[in-house]
Amino acid sequence: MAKAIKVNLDLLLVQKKKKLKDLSEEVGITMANLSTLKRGKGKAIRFSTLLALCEALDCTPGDLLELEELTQQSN
Amino acid sequence: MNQSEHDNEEAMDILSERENGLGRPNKLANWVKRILDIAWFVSIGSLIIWPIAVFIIGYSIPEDPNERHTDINFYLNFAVYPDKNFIELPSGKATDLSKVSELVKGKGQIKLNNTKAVSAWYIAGAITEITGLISLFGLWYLRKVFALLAIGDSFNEQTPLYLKKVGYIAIASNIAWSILQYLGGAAIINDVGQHASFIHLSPAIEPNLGGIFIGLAILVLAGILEEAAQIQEEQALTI
Repeated sequence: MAKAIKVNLDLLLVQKKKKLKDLSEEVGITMANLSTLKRGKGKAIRFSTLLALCEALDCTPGDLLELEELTQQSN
Repeated sequence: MNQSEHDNEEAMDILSERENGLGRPNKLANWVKRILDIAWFVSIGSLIIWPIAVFIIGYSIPEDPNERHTDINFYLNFAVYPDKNFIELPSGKATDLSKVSELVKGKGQIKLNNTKAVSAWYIAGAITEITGLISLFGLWYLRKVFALLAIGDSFNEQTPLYLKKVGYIAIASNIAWSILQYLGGAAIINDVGQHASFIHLSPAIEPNLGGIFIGLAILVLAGILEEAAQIQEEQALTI
């Protein structure tokens, strides 16, 4: 079964009661890039981005990233 | 997810792609694109008018050979022999003519006065049309490449695909041109015949190695650009 890295940004934003726009201003990453990350369209994440997001969301990289099994329908 | 959120996501997607994918518009590429546009429309016009003109002129070629004045321009070999030394051969084979040393020999665009056959006119016209159509495909994809370069989208994933097609067309058209040139020349000479006993015409074959090499170079460039597009995509999607 194929596996992929899932970015739990959506879930963390809900848990921390933050908006994407506020997070964007806090970490200095554009809304477009955060949206790309949130929708799982990103191909890689810089350590600096990961650190900024973890600090802003008060979480660990493990909370933000998750290994998921791909079903046949998903890409 | 409601419709508004979905629209926002899509808008964000486009914004993201624009933000990460596009470079600065290239003015030179824009000028080349305009020139290619003009060449494209002129070529289309010519390729539409050309077969009509060939048929009209071909239809108006008089039945009586003495009244015909239709010139055919074609790339042929020619050899001029001294009249007094020329050996009249019933078969007229080129191998027999090799016994006589020629005064002048060469190849070039020869204008033939079509006095013997009508089909030679159509053969020459058809060859021009076929090679023109092949070149038109190349021009079409070249325009697409320069359209992307002009807006600064140099590393679009489509660019190497278009360039590959341009490369294949450049190679194919140069090979096709050489073959058509030889076969067409043979057919035209067969129809028109030799005009003078001391001037011998034969079909010319001259493969355009430069054109084939350019086609191969374009294919290599397309391969490099394909890798570059992949790297650019990775870079654009690294947050």
